[in-house]
Amino acid sequence: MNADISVTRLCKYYRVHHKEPGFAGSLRSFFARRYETVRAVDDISFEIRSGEIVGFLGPNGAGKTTTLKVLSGLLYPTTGDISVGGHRSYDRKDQFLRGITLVMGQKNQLIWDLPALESFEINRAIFDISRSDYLAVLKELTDLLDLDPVLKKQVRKLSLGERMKCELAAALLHRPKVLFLDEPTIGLDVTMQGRMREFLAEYNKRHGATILLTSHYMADVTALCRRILVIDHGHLIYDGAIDALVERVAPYKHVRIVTRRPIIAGELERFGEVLSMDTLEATLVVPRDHTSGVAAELLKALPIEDVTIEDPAVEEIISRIFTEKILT
Amino acid sequence: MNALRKFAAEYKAAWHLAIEYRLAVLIWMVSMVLPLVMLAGWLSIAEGGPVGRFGRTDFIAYYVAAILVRNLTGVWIIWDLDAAIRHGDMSFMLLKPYNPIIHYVAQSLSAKPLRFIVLLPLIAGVAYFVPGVNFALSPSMLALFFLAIAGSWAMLFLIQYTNGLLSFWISQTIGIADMWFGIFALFSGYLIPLDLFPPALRNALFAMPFRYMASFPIEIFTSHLAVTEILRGLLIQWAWVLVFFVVYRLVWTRGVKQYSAVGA
Repeated sequence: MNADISVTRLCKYYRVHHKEPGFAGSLRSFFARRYETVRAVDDISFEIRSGEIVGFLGPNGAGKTTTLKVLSGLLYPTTGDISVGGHRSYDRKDQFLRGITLVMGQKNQLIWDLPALESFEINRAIFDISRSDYLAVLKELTDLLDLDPVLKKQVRKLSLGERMKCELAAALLHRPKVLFLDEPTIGLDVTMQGRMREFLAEYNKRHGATILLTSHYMADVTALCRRILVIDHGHLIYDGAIDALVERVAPYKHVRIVTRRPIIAGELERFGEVLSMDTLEATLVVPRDHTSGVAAELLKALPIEDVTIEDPAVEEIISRIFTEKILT
Repeated sequence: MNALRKFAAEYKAAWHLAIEYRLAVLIWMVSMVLPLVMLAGWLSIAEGGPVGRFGRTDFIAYYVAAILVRNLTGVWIIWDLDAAIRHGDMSFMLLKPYNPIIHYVAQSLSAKPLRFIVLLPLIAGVAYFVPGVNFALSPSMLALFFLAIAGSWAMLFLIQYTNGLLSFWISQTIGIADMWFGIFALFSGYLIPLDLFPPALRNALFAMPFRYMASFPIEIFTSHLAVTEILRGLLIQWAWVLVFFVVYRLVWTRGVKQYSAVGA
């Protein structure tokens, strides 16, 4: 199987009704509802190969979750074709459901007042997992996610991080080949986010799973995905490597210098745009092609202690894409 | 077979939850005092002589049976179902290769054994100590009684489940359920024996599904029906179950389509 996920001209429109606040508004909307069509996803196409990890980026309300829900079969597309592992998601065939999972960081599927193991047992029966497979998967997940101390505690008594690990385990018991992850690390502390990332990378490597993931934490995406999809207002505005996006949106680099004596802005302006400066430190914005030349000139002209050349932070680039509408 | 195994797993978890919430179950049971209130009223009326075919002993037997039947057939899943649909947790169930009704059936049946065990002393006490009470306790009658209990539960379950599925479209399903409970309590024989209604109304209620939701098993348990009447009643009752099942299927398939169209 070459393309594991294939989306062609997918559109998903909602009709939502508007209600003014207050009693008068309620009354008015009772008699004459005003409807509006929201184009949550508007004509997007992409393919994802088997075993790929792809980051799905976009501001709140861009259409990420809607796309994931369509792909996992929860939503019916308004128009367009989708195929996931050879199935049309929205038919929700058992065979399809056994091959995928959807994790929503903001929601929980575990039974609140029972230990996570009880929810696992239910999933085992529902997904028809044999006892021996179940034990093997459970052992693997327990080792990778360090679940041992938490499996027998009531879910409501777990910390957010512990609960999220259990949620992830519950979602992976049937060893799905395609993972849709919607903000899987939301609310977790930095260490736990790191653990989650390592786990997903390992899962991908071991089982060749295809992963499509959304996150507001850029570190998740840069650590896991070489390729990203960027969506805004329902439109796919970028599909490609993170590196290429950086080059395209930010055709410049940051040259950071540390000097031995205090310097003033006037001394630096001829080398490039001054992004920030302090008495002994400054950062310049320099076109990509000129960075080495500029660095050499700087070394000649000023008492330089240290020079570093780096790409602008991906966060900064992404936020520029959305605020300055660079790609649209 | 497959669905049965899935049900068994769901039931096990639901049973553990019922044990976890055992105190709440007991409080719920104690709070079901409506039949007792009715009983107190009828007892004082019956002091002046029997009402229809009901003397004081008949009323006691009837309402004790009503408490038993209500505990074994009552369905209280609509709050969970409504919340699951409107808050989007139904999504998790739809992502699994099974029909979510299995989950709710398990949930609805989970506390039944607990309720039954708690009520046993009451039944035994009344059967033993109240002279003239004649519960149908022979094994064959009990078997028929439990078939009727299963039928009543199935009707009430399908009605409430289908009612809850309306949450796919509207946000007032629980209001409908409250209204429905009033109608049910009045016309099913739960609060007023149907034999005490004016004959025309009684016959109308017998022709409608209401009798089979509570009165029918109560009539069996209080030894009011002959075996042939019971068998005939079971046939009619399970025909109603089938009708409500068909309605549920229609609403379910349309509801899921609606859910997939607009999301949670």
